[in-house]
Amino acid sequence: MMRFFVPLRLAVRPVPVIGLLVAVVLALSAAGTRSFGANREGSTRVFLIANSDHGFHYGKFEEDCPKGFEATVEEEFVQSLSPAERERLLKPENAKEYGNAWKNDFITGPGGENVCNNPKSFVNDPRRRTYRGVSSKVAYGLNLDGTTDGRAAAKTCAHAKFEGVNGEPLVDNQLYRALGCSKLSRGTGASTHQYLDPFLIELRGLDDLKNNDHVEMSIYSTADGDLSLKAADGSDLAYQTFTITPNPRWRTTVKARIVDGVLMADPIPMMHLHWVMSTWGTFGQVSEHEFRDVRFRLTLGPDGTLTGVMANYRPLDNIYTVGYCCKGTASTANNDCASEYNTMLAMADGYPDPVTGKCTMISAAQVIAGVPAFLVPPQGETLSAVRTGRPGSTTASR
Amino acid sequence: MKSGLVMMKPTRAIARIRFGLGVAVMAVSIGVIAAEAPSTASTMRRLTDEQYRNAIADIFGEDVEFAGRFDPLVRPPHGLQVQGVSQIAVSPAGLEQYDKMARVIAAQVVDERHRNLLVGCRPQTATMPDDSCAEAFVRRTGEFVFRRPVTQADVKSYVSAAHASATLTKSFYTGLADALGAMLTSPRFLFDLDGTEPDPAHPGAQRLDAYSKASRLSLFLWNTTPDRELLAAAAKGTLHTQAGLKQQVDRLLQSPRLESGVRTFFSDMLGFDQITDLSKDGTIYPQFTRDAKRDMPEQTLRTIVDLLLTKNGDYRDLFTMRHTFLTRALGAVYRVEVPDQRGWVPYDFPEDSPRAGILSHMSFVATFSPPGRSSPTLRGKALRELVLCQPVPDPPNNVNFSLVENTKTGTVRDRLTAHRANPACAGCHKAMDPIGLSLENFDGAGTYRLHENGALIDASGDLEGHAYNDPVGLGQAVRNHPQLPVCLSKRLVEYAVRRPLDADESAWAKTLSTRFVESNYRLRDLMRIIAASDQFLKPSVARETTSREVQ
Repeated sequence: MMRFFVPLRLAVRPVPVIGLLVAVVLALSAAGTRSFGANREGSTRVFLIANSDHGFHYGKFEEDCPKGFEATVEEEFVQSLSPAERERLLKPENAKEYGNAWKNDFITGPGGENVCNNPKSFVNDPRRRTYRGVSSKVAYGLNLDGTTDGRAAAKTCAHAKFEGVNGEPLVDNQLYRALGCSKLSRGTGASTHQYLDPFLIELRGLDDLKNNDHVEMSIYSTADGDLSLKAADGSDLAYQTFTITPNPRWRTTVKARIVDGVLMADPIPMMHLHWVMSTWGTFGQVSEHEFRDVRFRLTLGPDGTLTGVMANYRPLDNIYTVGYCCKGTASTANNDCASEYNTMLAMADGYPDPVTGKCTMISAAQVIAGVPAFLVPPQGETLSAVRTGRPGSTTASR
Repeated sequence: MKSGLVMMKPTRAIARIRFGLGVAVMAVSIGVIAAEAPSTASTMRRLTDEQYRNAIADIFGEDVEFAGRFDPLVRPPHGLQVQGVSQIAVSPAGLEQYDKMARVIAAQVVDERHRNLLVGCRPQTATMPDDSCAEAFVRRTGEFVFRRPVTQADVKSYVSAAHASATLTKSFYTGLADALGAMLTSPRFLFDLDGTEPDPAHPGAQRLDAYSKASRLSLFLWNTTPDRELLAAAAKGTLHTQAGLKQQVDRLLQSPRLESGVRTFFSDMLGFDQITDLSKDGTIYPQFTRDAKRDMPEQTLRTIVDLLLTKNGDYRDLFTMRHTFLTRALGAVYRVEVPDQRGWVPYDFPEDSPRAGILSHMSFVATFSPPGRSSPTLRGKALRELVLCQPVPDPPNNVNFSLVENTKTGTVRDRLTAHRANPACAGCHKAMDPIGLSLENFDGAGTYRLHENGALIDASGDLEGHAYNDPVGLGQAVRNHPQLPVCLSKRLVEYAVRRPLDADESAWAKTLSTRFVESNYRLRDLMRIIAASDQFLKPSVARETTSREVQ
């Protein structure tokens, strides 16, 4: 008969081993202890940007959208029907057929692709109508093309200008113009608080917060993905520590200056930020936001916060890659992604295709707010090395 | 006419019989104490929930899982919570919980995953009783469950119970689980019973028997049941010799398991049990997150273990040391970098930091603050009572707190000055407020602040003639306070005996502080002195409890 001494567990219980390991770890840790003071430099501040909106200005609805919301996918479906077919399908006894027709057939392409994963497949679908766009004169943003009238130039297509919400006289935000009256974008109000994954802004050389020509600004994704703690009141928790992404592609450094308390950064030709939900890819599994000609206009608050606008051109494909996904966006959220895409294509104002002459990017703005934070470099790197940014992303000095 | 039992479904009938059997075995086990206990039981102390969990993990392994609520311990005035174990009042609900946990544990011990290792033998057939295998199990497991060898009566009763249940259920292992469940609900497992025997060195007097000494040592130093080596020392009688006792005490003190005992002691001494119910106003203290609340006692305990055990440091340095351990959530409260996103990192507050010593930890300043403000009075009271063992009376019933609770203007020093104008309040507040005001640079969540309502905070103070200007100075004053080693000695004796001290023990605790000072304030040395002392290992003298009373 097999016999064991029951309380063998007393001899083999892992506690002593664990305890010993803990002691060793503690001893080793103690030997390697350091005081982390990288962000204690008086003229350097770090901000966690965990609050980012898609930069749609919500004025009076009747002024912004005098003809109401843009058509939903269901409304477009109904409008696409002949009067007789419309009357038939809208009868209560045909409700199931009606639902299936717009929630499945209408949003599915000939190859079985759905309208939100593959809006390009519906570009020539006459049932998808281009949105009217907002009528508002005011928008978030910055003057990206440098013109006063939005006329076409080498890198831009002709477009109308907005007045800036934050005092900028002539700003570009064609993304808002395209989608500002869509129910999906506007229907729930200003509720998009994490349009971008949390990222970091580091400002160095802040010895004068009023007027300063020598500020250096770095923008980093974090190595921690979207791991950002919330405070007890639901706000973004200040003074968290984040590790800078080890991927140089998601790190950018640029020169900036403060004029009358407003910080403006030099244009950044191209910038990428990590997008954690990479499986949402529509045109490929790209796990990053792409921005062109990025500009910042920020204000340092007396309470240690940072608020302002980040303006840029967004490649249309990238917007769909990171922002849209799945059949449910159409069938549940009742949004016609093809109409949206066609509208953005029609209103795109940046980076014309050399062959077609049609613009491939659209001006946009993100309203951001940051709280104080700490950062540490990724393992094996120093802060000074990280701050140099990825090659090619840093613009020449002014 | 059929009986109700027969009319029940077979499974229910068996369950009822098994329940009755379990209760019967519990009764038998209690009776065994009266009939065959080798010595007279004199006092009983309930195992704490932590001791219960540690014992189960030690005997059966950490993968044996169970959940349940233990009857709460009542902290005596100005004492330790663990002293509540000497108040033997187990509620009916508490008994029910013990029974449920025992059944859950026993079922896992005999399940297919564990039986080969934990049962230790195999029955002739799994569908019938096997008294030989059951006896082997009862003897081997019982020694660790009861913290002493099982008696012949134990063996007989538990094997009979296993046999009867196995017959009814047609399962050897179910029968064994029922017997083990009864053992785990025995008072001899749930309570630490002092067994005494005639003391050959002092004819006519009693001494603790060796197994009771082993239990007392293990529960004090490891916060768990004795291990095999300690029980062997008890069996050989070497715990009754100076050399044998010293050898075991030294072994226990060098074990990594000492950390468990030290953590439990300081959690109790520093009132960490209050953190469970601690809440803060999230709009005032957004940094007081669930993660920070979870981590704040652990920060202090890690700091204590690091200084007093890993580094064998000076106890007094706990009140001045810059070194600690932080998580990201705590870093947000302290506003310092913590590079590890999910774990703990060692951290040294800079020399110019206002934060030094455990009094500046969140676990102290946040715990002893109301939900929406700081409280110099609560902090001062806690420091006096917990760290210096200087009890402060409760406030009279007719105090008007409205003045100090108005946090809209000025500093709390101004408000308390007005409060102390009342002679009825002044006596106690003079003892609490000055030291509490020195911690006002830490808000109600523990974050450093320089101003309150725009007014510069004056953190200067005086502790028994030792003047200082800031929280760091307060820590230094506490470090040098003559009552500091006296209090730790007293608390450790209270923790060791787990009941209120009698007059002799109180006097003994005072003399211990002298030896603690002579040992350069080393905690391990103080624990060694206590553990190896006659005073600690003497029978409890409150009164002799008869076996009938134990039932």
